[in-house]
Amino acid sequence: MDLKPPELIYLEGETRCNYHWATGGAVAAFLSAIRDHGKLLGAVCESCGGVTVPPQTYCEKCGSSMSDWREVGPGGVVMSWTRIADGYEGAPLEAPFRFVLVRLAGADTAMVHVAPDVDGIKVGATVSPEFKPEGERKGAVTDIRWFVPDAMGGEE
Amino acid sequence: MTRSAAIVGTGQTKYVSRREDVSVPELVREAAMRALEDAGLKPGDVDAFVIGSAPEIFEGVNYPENWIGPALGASGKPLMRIHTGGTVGASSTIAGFYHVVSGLFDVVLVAAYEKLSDGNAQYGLSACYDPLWDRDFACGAPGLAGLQARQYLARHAPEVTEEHGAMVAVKNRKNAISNPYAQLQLEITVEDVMASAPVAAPLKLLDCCPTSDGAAAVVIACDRRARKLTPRPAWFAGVGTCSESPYVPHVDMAYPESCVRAAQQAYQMAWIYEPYKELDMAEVYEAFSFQELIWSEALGFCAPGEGGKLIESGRTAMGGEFPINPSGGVLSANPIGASAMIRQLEAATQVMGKAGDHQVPGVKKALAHSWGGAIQFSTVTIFASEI
Repeated sequence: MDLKPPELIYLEGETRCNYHWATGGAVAAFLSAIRDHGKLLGAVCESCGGVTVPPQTYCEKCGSSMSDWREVGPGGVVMSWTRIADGYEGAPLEAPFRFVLVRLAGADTAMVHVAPDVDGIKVGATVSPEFKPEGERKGAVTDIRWFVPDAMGGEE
Repeated sequence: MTRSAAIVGTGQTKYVSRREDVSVPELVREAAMRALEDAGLKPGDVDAFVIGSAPEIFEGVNYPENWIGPALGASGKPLMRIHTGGTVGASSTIAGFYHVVSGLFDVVLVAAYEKLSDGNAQYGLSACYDPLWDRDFACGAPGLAGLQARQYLARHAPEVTEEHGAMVAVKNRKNAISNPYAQLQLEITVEDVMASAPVAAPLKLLDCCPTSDGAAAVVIACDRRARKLTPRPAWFAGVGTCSESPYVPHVDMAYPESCVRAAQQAYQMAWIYEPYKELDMAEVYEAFSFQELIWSEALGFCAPGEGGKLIESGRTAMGGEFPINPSGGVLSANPIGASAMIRQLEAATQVMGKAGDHQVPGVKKALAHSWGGAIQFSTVTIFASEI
């Protein structure tokens, strides 16, 4: 008997699961500081003195515990950027927008975030976070709406 | 290392954007049976199996080894699954190498695959971002690679330009024409690449890999068996793997430490001091054009900042003194879970002298590289015709 099917058959489906992510000590402290005070915190390594954002309870460089905090930013420097030209499923903003790597003042590491699609976003440019209004902040990294350049270029 | 090991057989499927006539286990079986046939073996001759698989979200099938194992003839035998981001295909081969050189197993079959057309690749890649920190801003793989390319260009301008990335895209799509398994086989120009649609600046559509369906497999044997199975095995001469922080910001994307260290490990093991002189060719994981330049620098084929000069010189083209990606590379096919293994498979095939129309004459030592995660995993494998 010929096993060849008369036509190709596809089954449609999806995997649905709701998650409830525990953020852990360091990230929870960072998120509550944004939500309640509009301040950005970096974790300080007791051993090598490095200041990291995103904060963690452990130093990725030297392996020591991190339990100290220091306020960083709020401004920072663009270390890299890209312009996302087209929208896609789950995109944070309507395209085009910019995806940026920002090193906050006083931090030794950088964080990814988004920025408006303006010429002022370039490597080495200084930027500042635009926080959502106090009542709208929910304790997430999206409480920072985006980073805007201190010297605005024209809209592209 | 208690004994040597070699690749003695390889198998691939034709890489296509949609492979619709097979299920995932059938697809992987196709590559695995070709590898066994190439080695002159049957499934019953295999002592242990390793399966490499990317995040389950790509196909929506959890613990896929449950179904793929039996399709390969692994029932009743040791089986393990490996996952390390985009390097998974290479990590799986390296796990197979560990199995054999440990002395525990003589013949190991390793298979890796991806069937991206079953799901949504960019959604899956965005879901790989950290949910606590940056998933809300996830921009898939092009977002990450765009940041990397910009950092690299900003550091080395004006010596490296966007056109240098385009030259890689042109070279590798042309090489792919001689590789019957490649998906994108294109005769294009630098102008075509520069004029293609913007994706994640400075990356344009032709700077980016396609999404692919496909599988690859290799048979690894101990020295005693390898010498009996084939007159020219591809010996594992050097292996290096290294991981870094999962957070993008900690990594120097334009000169990743994990890549530098993986290369150092592999060179030390293979007694290689001057990689560009001592190796005959390389297959590197360039899912985006600029990455071939960045990896060339981190692997020591040229000095930092000289990647542009290297591609411009023509020395890495077919017929050049150091061909890179004769197969067409990842820019010509990217079945994600298999892509890192395909680099090793291609390098091994070159050493075995079985690469057909894209064979580089007289290859004695070849390097395979891969990256994965947020540029956080790197592997380097060196194959040699003699050990």
